[in-house]
Amino acid sequence: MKKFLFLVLCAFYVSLSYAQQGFPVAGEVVDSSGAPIAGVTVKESSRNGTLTREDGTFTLTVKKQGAELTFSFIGYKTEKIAAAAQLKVTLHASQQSDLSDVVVIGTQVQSKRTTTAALSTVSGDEIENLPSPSVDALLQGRVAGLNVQVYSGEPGVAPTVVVRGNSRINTNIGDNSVAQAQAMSGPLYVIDGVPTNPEDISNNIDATGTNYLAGININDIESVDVQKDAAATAAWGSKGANGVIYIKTRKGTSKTPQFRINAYTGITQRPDLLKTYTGSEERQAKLAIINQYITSPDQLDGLPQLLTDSLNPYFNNATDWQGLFYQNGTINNIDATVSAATDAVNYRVSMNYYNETGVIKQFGYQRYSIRGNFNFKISPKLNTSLIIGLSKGDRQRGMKYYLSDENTPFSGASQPSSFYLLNGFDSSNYTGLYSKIRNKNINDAYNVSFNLNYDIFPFLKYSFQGSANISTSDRDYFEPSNLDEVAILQGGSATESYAESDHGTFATYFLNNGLNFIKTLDTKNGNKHNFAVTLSQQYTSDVSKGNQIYGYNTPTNDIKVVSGIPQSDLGGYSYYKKDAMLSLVGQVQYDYNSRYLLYLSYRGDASSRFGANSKWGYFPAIGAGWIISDESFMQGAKSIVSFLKLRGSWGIAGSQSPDFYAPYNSYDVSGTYDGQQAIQPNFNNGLTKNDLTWTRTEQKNIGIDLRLFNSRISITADIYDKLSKDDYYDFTLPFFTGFNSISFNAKDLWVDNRGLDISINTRNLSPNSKVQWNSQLVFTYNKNAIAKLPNNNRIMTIKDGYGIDRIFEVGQPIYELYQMHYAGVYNHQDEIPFNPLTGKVITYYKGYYPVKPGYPIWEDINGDGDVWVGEDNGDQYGDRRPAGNPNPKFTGGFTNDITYKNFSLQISSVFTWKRTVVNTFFQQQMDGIGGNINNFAKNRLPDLSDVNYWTPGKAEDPNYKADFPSITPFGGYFYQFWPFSDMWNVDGSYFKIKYVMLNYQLPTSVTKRLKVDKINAYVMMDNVLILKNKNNTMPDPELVNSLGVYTGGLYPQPHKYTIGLNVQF
Amino acid sequence: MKINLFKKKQMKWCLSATALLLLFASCNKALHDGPIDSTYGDAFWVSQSNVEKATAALYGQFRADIRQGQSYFIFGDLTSGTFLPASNNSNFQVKASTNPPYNFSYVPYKEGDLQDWSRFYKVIAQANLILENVPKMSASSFPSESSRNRYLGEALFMRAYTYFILPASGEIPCMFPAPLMMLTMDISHPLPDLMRTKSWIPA
Repeated sequence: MKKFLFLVLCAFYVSLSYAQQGFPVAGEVVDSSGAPIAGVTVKESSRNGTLTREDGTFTLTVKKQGAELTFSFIGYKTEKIAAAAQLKVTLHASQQSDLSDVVVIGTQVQSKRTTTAALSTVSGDEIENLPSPSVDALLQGRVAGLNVQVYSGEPGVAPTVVVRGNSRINTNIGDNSVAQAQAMSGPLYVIDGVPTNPEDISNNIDATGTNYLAGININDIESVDVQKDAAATAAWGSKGANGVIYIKTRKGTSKTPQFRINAYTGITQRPDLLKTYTGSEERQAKLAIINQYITSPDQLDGLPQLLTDSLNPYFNNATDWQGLFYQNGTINNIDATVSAATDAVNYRVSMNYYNETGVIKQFGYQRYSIRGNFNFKISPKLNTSLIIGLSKGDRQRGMKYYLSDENTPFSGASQPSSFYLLNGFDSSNYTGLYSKIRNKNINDAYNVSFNLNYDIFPFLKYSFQGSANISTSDRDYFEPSNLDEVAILQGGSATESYAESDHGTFATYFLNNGLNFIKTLDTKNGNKHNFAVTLSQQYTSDVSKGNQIYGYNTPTNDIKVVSGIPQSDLGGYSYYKKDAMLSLVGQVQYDYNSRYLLYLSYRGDASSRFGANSKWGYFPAIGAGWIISDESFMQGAKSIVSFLKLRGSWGIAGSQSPDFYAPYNSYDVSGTYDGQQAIQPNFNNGLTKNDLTWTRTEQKNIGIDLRLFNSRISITADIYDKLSKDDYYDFTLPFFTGFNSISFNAKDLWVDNRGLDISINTRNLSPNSKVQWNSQLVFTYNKNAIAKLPNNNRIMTIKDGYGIDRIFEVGQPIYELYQMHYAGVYNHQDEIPFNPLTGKVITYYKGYYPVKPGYPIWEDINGDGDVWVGEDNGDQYGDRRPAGNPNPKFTGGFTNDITYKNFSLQISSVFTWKRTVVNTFFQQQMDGIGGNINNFAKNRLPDLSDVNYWTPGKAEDPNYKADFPSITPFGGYFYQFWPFSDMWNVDGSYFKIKYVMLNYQLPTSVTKRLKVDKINAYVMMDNVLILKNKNNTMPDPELVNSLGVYTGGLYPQPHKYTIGLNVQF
Repeated sequence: MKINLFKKKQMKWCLSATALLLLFASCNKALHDGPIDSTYGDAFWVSQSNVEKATAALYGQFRADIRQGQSYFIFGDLTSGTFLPASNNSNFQVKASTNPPYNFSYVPYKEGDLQDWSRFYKVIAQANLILENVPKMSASSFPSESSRNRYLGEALFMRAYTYFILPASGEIPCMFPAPLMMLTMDISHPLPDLMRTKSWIPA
């Protein structure tokens, strides 16, 4: 019986396929400039289709005349046209993501139209040929909800990237190199399906500080999807708490082999130097200031010789210290790509060389990379793909050893006076010390990824992915022994020579087995229930190992490696760390007629980084959506509202501890006693933690996707609330246990980020117009607040490495500034209030300094008659109060594309609004000359032309109002120029035009004669214009670090001008 | 044809299931791997040479703590009441008999060394660690029971001695008693430890 039924089914099936008569269709597909497009998919149904040939023509037999044919090709808007005997179809390039595109969420492939996740896409075409070594900087201003701050122009350094607000509280901000790297929570990068956390790499092996993403050539990237809400990130479970950035690399697309060469070259302009007085001008200016503050002739006796002895050749020079280190830089890039896509094989091989020399001498970055993307269709049911990527990055970092702001031997604020003599030997020492230093930083990355997809049944597909990502970091450092001439000048001593060699390897092995079940149930009424269920099992293992050898006192300065070093100065070690994670993921996507959408996912992760009692973490998510525009009541408005989708999601994602062996009570080798090595517990974090577990981030999201006027206006808006709990926190233990602290999940440490992301894309001019102008406005509002603190919400204050206190209090944003309030200057004696207890004038600095005219006005918040930060005299908080939020409230970007015939112009700009930053650059310059006549003489005089500082002479006018306190060099210095008052806080908002690119494509008539497919030339200018708050004296308000501090030492972002040519044949 | 198809399907399901199980099984060990670049509790207390290292740490920690900020001198000799601070806070001079006694209640810039005793609790914690773990070690780790007891004795002694030199009544501003007061210090706490030590450390 069963056999008979089966045969009947077979016959029926076979007859169905041959039932129709054929209707032949022939035609041609061209693009908007009339050029034929090869390789366009022409489909009638999933069983009947073809590709256009080289000349754009095609033939196809369809069921009947008038059947709908779909024309689709990557980068172009899909067209649906009724079949006719002869067809000429024009495809228009699609600027924004087309809804027929697909996106990978977790391990499941979903269509953009029916996904319930909040995501934004940046296509590779938008960011092609922009001169940046890494892709993360280019996402700035193009993605709603993504806050990218390129705080340093140093080539090869990663910008800070935060998705939907910072959720990390780092209590180690006193260490500046930590602060820059680990203050903010970063997203997970998934590159062609392989999850990579650059922070894991830099925490474990990184000697070089180079951005991991700088190893990927930007022109190899096809698209970047930024996945923001729980419906997308919970599928990545314990790594996805702070967003997922999915990078897909390009594959071959054209039917015939295509060869493409692209090259651009340019210069980076030397930045404007600080306006500095030199030589006699400086002497005049300094003496003029001194004259303003002299109260008695005795003070003139105490003036240092540096100021007074203007005939001494050691003291009467006009040395330009800044000019020694800055230069114009160059930038060059060349790519060669060969690709083709046939039915059986699809490949793309690309090679790239990128070279950028920096605007500070001895800074630069070179990258060599090769990437191959191969897809093989072995049988109709089986296809495999292989991706191989190799890259080598070589970064020059001047003399920097750590991640720091010291890009030049003197950072902006600590430059000496121009009086000092700089002879030939010294200046070649300073500039040439770079050539004697050996600071090689090489990062190699090897990626291999093998994918296999097999259709077990038509509705069930098995996929396998195995990849290995190996990242190595090599650093060779040598510092000669006569390096620190400045220290000798200022009375210190020269350093010994030092040589070091580090090598580290971080390897990630990833295996994914998945089963994908897709089924459509048709009901009697013609309704469809579409199910897609994906079950996967993943296994990830990271191995970090390396070694370091170092030694002091190499025999001569010409021996730049660790060789010949005396035994007592020699040291070295090697290390090995491994972790493993097993995950099981289930994702279900259901939709009813593609109109009502439901998504469920559940993931369980077991990681070796967690305690024996809590190995597994579970991450659920649920999403729902409703495509309102498909409803019958919306059909009338179809001409206005072409697409409207409402969606919402909720889910829990997590993040892991950065420490591979967190649950183990590791012991330290603490030295030797009587010749015997001593081993004892690590008292800072040395207890066994069997219950250490994941941090949890719960996120809710509601969003709408709206397209109006036939997709001329597209709006995507999301409102979200992201609550992070259980983050790792250093708990102080009672002293009688002998242990200082323990790092553990803080059940009571909650951080909340809530806000709004909006992305608006418009095609401003009608599709028929010759000039096309498309704009994209991206806008994010994020409010960051601490929701709960351990120890019953006890307030914490921590001082960062710049001397600025931060307060952590429920309701305040993370890293909120906590400073005394500065309210101007006391101009006259009668303005000064008096202490209510003693009747005398109020004092500063614990009573040591009664206030005089010319002093800054500091508000006495606790009313005790003395204004100070208060740590010493018993009042823990003193007169400090929350003074500003360094997390930006609003960020976004505005990009415009204008095309006219063969020209196209792209202008991208970014903005950040409402952010308080501390200008410690100006603060340190003033501190350098404050209150001490010797410092005043020997340090560089800052530019005071715009500063209305108080002087006794000006104060004789009863109506005088000063803007800046007295800068007298004669004593009375109570650290008034330290950053513990909000005197130096400014609004760090900015609007910057980042890239202006003009592109010209040679017309097809010309290219046909040259026998090439496409030639285009482009010119570009980078960092074009900066608009900032008028009170802000910083040259570039973006150059503040993640704690909101501007030190002036950060590498400036220079103007870049490039010109390039792309040839495809 | 139908039978073949059925077998193939069954075979496919079997294959995938076993593959999944195998992978799951092999992972389990990797999920519980400990570090090899540092030692930790369970791996450490297995041999006498390790106990020797832990004891070296005990003495080394005590040495570091007692030397910090000249505490060995200040706790030892200055409590006799014959010194006064001299030109700066690191130097001391003999006081004249007519001067009032200086009770070291104000020790500027040395509060962390002289008034904060918490560092000595690390010595006590280390001693407790030895006392907790050494008895659990197997007899084959030591050549004889008396060598095991020797380590226990040393740990007990150091613990008792540390408690002895800590001030008797918690944090007090005036923490250096005059010589006479030392005799009345509460030694009942460390006394039992000292009594036990007597039996364990060879004469």
